[in-house]
Amino acid sequence: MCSVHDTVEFEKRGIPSTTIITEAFKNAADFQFRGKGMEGHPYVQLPHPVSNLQPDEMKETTLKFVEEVASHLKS
Amino acid sequence: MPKFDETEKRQKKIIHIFEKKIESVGIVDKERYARYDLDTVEFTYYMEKAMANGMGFIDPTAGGSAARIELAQRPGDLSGKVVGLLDNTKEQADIILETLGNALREQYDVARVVSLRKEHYSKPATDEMIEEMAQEVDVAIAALGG
Repeated sequence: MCSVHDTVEFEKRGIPSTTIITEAFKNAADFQFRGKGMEGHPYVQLPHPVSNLQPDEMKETTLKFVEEVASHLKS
Repeated sequence: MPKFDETEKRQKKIIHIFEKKIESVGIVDKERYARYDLDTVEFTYYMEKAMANGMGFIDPTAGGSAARIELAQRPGDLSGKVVGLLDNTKEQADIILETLGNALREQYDVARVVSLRKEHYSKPATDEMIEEMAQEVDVAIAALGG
C-alpha cells in the first residue's frame, strides 16, 4: 500500500502525515506501518468500498472524517 | 482467484454465495454489500475471510524489521498551516482529498492546500515528489489505500 509508504516518508522528513484507507485494508496498513518502523501510526478508515459511491455520497462520507483527520495532524 | 462468467445468472449466483459467506464472518453488513460490484464482492470476501481467520498478509513492500521512526512533532493547531494532499490516483481519492482540503480550510483555518497527483497508485511517490511537497507543506494527507 503505497499511501503508507508515502506517509512514512513525510514523517521521516518531519512532516506530520496521515493516510486515508478503506477499512478492508486495515490489516495491510497495520502491517506496513509496522514493517516501516511506525507501528501504531494513526490513519483514517473509510467504509469499504468507496468505488461504488456517487460523488455527493463520497463527499458526504468524507465529511464525517474531517475531525479525525485533523486530530492525526495536530497535537 | 476464480474466474467469473459475466452472465447475469452467474453473477447473481456468485453474489448469493459470497453474500452468505461474508455474512457468516459477520463483518460486512448485507445492505451495503448488496451494492458492491462483482470485483469488490470477490475482493471483499477474501479480505474479510483472511481477517476473520486471523490470517496474516505477506507483503513484499513492507520490508523487514525497520528501525523505529518517531512521529513528526504535531503543531498545536492547523490554523495558518499549509496542507499537502497526495493523490495516488485511486478511484475517489481526488474527491476525498478535495473534500478534506476544503473542510480543513473552512473548519480549521488552514491557510492553503497543495495537491499533487502520483503517476499510479501501485508505485510509491518518487523521492522528488515527496521532497517537493515536504518543502512546501506543514502537514500531509495521502489517499487512498483501498
